[in-house]
Amino acid sequence: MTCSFLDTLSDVIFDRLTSGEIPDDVRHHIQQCETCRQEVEALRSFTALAARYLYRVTCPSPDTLALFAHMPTQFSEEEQTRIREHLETCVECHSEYEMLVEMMGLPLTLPPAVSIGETLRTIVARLRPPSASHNTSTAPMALRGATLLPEGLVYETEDVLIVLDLERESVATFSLSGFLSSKDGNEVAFEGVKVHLRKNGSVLQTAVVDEFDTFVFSNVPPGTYHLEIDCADARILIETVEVA
Amino acid sequence: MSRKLSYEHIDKLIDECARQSNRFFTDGVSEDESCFELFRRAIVHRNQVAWEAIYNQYHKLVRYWIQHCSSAYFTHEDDIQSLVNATFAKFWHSIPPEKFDNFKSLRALLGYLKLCAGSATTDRIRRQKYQTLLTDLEEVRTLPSDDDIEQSSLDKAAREQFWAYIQTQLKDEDEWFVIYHTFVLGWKPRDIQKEFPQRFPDVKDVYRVKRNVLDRLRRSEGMRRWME
Repeated sequence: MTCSFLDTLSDVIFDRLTSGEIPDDVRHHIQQCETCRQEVEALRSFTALAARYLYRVTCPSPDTLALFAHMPTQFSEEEQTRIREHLETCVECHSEYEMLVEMMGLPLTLPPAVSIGETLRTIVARLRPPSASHNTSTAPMALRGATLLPEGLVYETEDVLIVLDLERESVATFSLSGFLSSKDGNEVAFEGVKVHLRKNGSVLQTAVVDEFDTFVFSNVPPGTYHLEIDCADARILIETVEVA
Repeated sequence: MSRKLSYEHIDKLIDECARQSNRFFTDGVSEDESCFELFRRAIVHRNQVAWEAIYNQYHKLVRYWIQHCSSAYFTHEDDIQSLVNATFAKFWHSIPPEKFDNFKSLRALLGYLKLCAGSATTDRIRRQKYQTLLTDLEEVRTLPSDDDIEQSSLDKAAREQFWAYIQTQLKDEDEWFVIYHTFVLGWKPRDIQKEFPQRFPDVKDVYRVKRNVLDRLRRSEGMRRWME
């Protein structure tokens, strides 16, 4: 017995069948039609097999790629040519290789500790008094373009306002989000700026400011932290952030 | 008296290695003998105390290598710590006692430790993407363990044969591009279209090509044999 139902589906819906994302009307038919059920099952089995067998099948192993980044002369000329040709066409290996070359170029000893302020102008952001916070005319914060944050704690430097907001995620963790804006109201692009959440000197998480000038740290347990914001010409410090 | 004999007590050896490492930071010079000897005892004698001392002495260095280069992939403390541990585990398993003589200096040992850090980091990057791929297919719910990763557990020759067979079933370059990027690199149709907009002006083109190939493959006799 044959059924042409699957042939009537759009390419997008057909693609979804391979991941089990089956729309209700299609599911209804498949439940009734043995032929289609078998075909969908075969399709999903094939897709799973292909994913398991083919993932990075043509790529050099991590060991090979690391050794090639470290000491390409360990390979024969023929192997070197083969790996180089692969790197020219494989975007994934190319980006892994770049990371490895950078790592292999690092010294075999820890660099001497550089005190903050030696390489960058460091500005300590201060908590703005509540009255000033209430009067501020900071732009509304669109978190990831979706949610308006309630007003949080407002910190300021000479040029920049930083608003932090804390939200409980679970019994044991919080989400700490922030919004950066220029104090004089000028359009300043903060997108791409890195923000580090530190505790006892160690970086616990690094977030990157998005196109809405916001950043988020998830899964933050209660505790005392400090934030570092790596702006182009200065590092802004918020010395104490209490998460509780 | 040889320096080796003077390090009879491991505590003394550990202290001297730490002292020499600190000396490097303050004076820019150090003697590597004590740290090299610590490695020798850890690897050749499988001395656990020496191994722990090596971890204590060098884990910050390994962390520095990993953190410095992989911040685009890993930012959480747990990930970094796990990679540091994976690096030391890889180093430990990669050098059996009889191979220690291949390393003539502390520099060579640390160079190899860095190689392990690079390999462990690359492996983790691939494993995370592989997990995403399988999760999309509802194949797994948890990160595959090191043993599960198909690259190591499936026979490499069988995987290459399978890929060779698939390629014989592809009719043109478009089909090859879609299947290669979908299954070998684990990309989504939208990623493929974005990377090759001239070849696939619309994401629907990717869907169409993928469907044609999947339809053909699932009906092919050769594929049925693989599925069995």
